[in-house]
Amino acid sequence: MTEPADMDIAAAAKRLAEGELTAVELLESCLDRIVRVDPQLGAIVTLDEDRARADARASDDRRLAGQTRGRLDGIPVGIKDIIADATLPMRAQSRTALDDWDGVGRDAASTGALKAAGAVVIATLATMEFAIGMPEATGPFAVPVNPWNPERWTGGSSSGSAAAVSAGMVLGALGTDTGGSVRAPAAFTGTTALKPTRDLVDTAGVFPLSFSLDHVGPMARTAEDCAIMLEALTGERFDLLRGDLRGVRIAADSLDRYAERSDPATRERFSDALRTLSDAGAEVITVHLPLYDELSAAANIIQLSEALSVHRHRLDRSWNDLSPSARIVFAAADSISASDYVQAQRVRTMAAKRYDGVFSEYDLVVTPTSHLTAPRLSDLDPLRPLSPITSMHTAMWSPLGVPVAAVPMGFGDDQLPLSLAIAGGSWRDRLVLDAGHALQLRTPHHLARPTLPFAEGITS
Amino acid sequence: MREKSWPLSDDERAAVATVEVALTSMALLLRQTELGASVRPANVNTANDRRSPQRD
Repeated sequence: MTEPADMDIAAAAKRLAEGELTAVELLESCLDRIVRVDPQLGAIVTLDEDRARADARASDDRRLAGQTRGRLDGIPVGIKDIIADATLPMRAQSRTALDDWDGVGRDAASTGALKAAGAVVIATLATMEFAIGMPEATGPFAVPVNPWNPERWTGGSSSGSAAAVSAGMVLGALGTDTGGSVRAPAAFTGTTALKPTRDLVDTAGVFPLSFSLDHVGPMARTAEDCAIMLEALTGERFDLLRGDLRGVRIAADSLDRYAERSDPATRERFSDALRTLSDAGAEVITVHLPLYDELSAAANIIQLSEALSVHRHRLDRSWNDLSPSARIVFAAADSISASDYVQAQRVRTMAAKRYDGVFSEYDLVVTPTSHLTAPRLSDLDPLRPLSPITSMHTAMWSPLGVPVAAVPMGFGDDQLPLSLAIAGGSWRDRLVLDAGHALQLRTPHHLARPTLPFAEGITS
Repeated sequence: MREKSWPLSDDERAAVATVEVALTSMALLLRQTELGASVRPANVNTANDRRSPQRD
């Protein structure tokens, strides 16, 4: 029998509403999963079981009193360790002190929104230092391993959020995305995530990485679950997914940029996904995406320039406490000139206008989220901090601020998840999720679960 | 690589130089991108203000 922790949010909400499950039972199932698998996975930073149990009891009491707050009421969730919670400590995966940041000690807007919807926030979840470093095996924090294979990385920087959802420790999680940080880990762990339209979800209370690129996004098992979370995060209606794409025009990436470097299965799974979207009623047209390299370059120049601006005082004060990869990234960012930063923002303006045209001709654009499956942890080198981004097709969308979902599209030849990226014009988040929903109504990829715990002797 | 304010080991210094080469390549691509003099930088706080408020 399926354990409650293995359900998606929509299914759990239905059972809660029908009185077949209580929030306390659901929470205990997740806590039991955490005890059994997190020593191997390393996804949890701080867990507050007492608060979670009190919140779950309160949810059950509300339900009995007929005062439930909706489908997220009583659902266990986690938050990335750069998103503030009023009582859970935030470390941003760093040895450096954060007491100079004014977000400490109160809920981020997104944390507060989930709590207001009745979600049970049970833990903070691992990332990389300030969401910009690399996994640091010798550091004081656990490095999350991929629930599908402990030798593989989860992707980052919302690493723990993806691992925790994939492993059933929580049913949903908050991540942040500046250059792909909810999409890449979702892709590598077989989960679903949305980078919403920029400014749709309030980033107040998130430790900044890049002021003009940071997004907060939901991570869950399905597009429908992301819609449920997005509704709580915004107060708008995103739960009316139909899975019917008749009348929707989809531009499909021609894949001509990375044909020789991709996992052999990527092209096949991508073609399968296109056929499924077509079966759902969409018109699919193959295109060459304009300004791919320029947008990716602008994303990197802007992100690193703004990150250095955020952290420069910290570098002077706490240089020796930073991880080697963070030191390398910040030191290299110091080479970017002011005029290059401004030029990147100008290219962003030009590209946004160009893509307004693309999104007036097509409703959606789809690409693989990454052309490779999750990299080996042993291949990650702190002295090569940009190396993990070379297989990901996430950064180009970030300067545009448009919504992009990462949705499972099957498995590579190494039996690790592959993912479809679905992008839409600004504020068309529901259509993006609806396309993901259409895919998931017709495919089983999102239903696959990793076999956990790993065999004896394997630890993170 | 210009002189850094912060101490770096030899390995880190070499790694920084490698990243700087990549960033310089990106910056050159952006400098060479045709824009026209009137294109302004994206506004940091209002990236989507000019967009349609249509939600879907």
